[in-house]
Amino acid sequence: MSRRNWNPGFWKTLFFIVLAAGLVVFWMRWTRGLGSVTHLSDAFPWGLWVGFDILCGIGLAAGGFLITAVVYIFRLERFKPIVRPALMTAFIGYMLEVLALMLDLGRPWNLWRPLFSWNPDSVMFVVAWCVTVYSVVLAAELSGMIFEKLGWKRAQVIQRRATIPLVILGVVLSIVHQSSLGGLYLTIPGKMHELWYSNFLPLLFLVSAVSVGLAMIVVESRISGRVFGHHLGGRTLTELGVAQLVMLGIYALVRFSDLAARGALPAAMDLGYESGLFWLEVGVGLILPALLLMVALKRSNLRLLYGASLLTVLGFILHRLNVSMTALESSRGEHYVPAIPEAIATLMFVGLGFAAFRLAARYLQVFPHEGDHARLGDGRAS
Amino acid sequence: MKTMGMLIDVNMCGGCHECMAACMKKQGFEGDPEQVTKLSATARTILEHAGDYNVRKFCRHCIDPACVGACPAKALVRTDYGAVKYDSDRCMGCRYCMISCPYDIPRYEWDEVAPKIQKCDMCWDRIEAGGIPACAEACPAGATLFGEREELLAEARTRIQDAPEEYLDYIYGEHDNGGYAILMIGPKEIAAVRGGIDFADSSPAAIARGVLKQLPGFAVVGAAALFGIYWFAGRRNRVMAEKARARTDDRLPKPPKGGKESNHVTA
Ligand code: SF4
Ligand code: SF4
Repeated sequence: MSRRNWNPGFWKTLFFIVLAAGLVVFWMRWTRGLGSVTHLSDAFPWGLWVGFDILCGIGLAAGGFLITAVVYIFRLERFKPIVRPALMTAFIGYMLEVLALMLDLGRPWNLWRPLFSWNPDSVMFVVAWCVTVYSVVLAAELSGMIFEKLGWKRAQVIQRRATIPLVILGVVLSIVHQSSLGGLYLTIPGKMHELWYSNFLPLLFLVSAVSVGLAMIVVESRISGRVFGHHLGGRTLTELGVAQLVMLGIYALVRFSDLAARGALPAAMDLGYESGLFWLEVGVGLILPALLLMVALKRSNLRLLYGASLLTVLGFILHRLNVSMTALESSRGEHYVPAIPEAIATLMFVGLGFAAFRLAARYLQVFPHEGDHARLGDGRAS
Repeated sequence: MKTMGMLIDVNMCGGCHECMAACMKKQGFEGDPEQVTKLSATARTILEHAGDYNVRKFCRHCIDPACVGACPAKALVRTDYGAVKYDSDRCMGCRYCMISCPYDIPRYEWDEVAPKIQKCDMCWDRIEAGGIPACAEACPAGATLFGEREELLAEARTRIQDAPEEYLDYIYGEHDNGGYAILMIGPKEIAAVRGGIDFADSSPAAIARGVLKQLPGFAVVGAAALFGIYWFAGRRNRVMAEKARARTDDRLPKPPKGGKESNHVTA
């Protein structure tokens, strides 16, 4: 692996600049209100922070529940080396979401209310519940790492005994959480463009979260290979690629049969703003990665696998941004373009995510001992 | 208390803006009502125009309100007499009510540090004190009537029957999207701002309710299924380990409880 592109000084400086700018955004939000830093309005009450930081952030964390299910429920132990990095990513993702909520929510001190006053009609109630409870579950799943560091043997044993119940709870919560993010949009058929409104939005959100979870594991392995010298064996990566391809196929099947059943396909055919963004999403983010995956798997080309995975992630982001923004524009009669401070805060969250992962990898045993420095493509599943 | 409501008769409205003035006065909002053309955090009711007619726009106080269904914190609730009211002390500011309201009614205080939702609350404080909403009291033309919803419906029907040439034969809010407490009648022109008359019979809130009803069952079945898979996978691993051992040389001593231990995975 070449480390030529990895220049710690440059990235560190950039990180601190973005962090400082992001803190200014926080300060402005909490002294002058949301209007001073965003282009949100009564017509567009949700913008980049909901569309990207929350809808995409949570989806990108899906690798965590996936891999625990594979290793502890399906008991495919050769995937064990990825459990910790994937769980760590998920945990950091959820913590960042809570941080983003501190910026976006108008009155975040009431965030605990849904836990005690149940509104069984509210999808947002379910979302709020899942965020809170799954964050705790993730922390519990990861606590073994901390106990290990501290050398607390008894705590480690207790934590280990609780693994299976925790994993089952976490998987159920995640499935509910991922799909209910799509479910948020079920109640507004009249406001959304027909290319994106669907009764199947919860299923589409769940399936795309699974495929992007798989893609993220490939991407993370690549990045951590560059930065830390840890990466997964070629066989594991290939299996992840196959699973990703299957999920993309299921997603495409649901997406297109739903469009056809609702008679919305003609809307994809006429040239316009919405159909353009639709084809960008579907072409670059679904069809292209699926084709590349096929080639990559056929030729056992891990570089291509990595590229395809990146496109899967991109397509997933485009879908969620389209659902949360593009789909609403025509019924609002106006466009929403994020304000610069909104983009800065989002960049800060991304940067914080990388920084937190780096710190965790440095001080905790995130990556396994054995298989350290295993080369890509050596066929060993560490 | 019986379900209360209001009847807006667009044919009676002269466009004097007294309803807006009374509302702004009660809420302590500044400004000239004649200049206000959009709902905002400081305008809970406005007049829209359809030709020469003035059509009031404000919260419809739905019977099955999408905003109440949406609110995760129970900051929005529907009272037994039909007013949909808001409690900022419970609100977490997620703005899902704004997304969910099919008529884009709730507004937000974008310039406040701790913003609140703003929308008509039917002057529930006045109603509970035995009074009537400020706008209904202020209207000099009788175009906004407050009363029991059933009686207002009967009144609306009579007015349409008595002058069928002046009215669109439809009472907005009787059934559409589950019905509203705020009813409206008027000339055919109001369809331009109120939309056609082929509304759904049930509220969008019913969509979420229907899906979420299945959630507890799903969670239980899902957890049970996961446990089942866990158990089967353990068996499969044990069987595979047995087979692997059977294949190896018999001279090797069998490891005690080997199969079981090898399944034990740690986090
Ligand atoms: S009109 Fe909108 S804000 Fe008013 S009760 Fe109905 S859903 Fe809620
Ligand atoms: S913004 Fe407040 S009132 Fe509206 S849905 Fe969220 S918590 Fe409820």
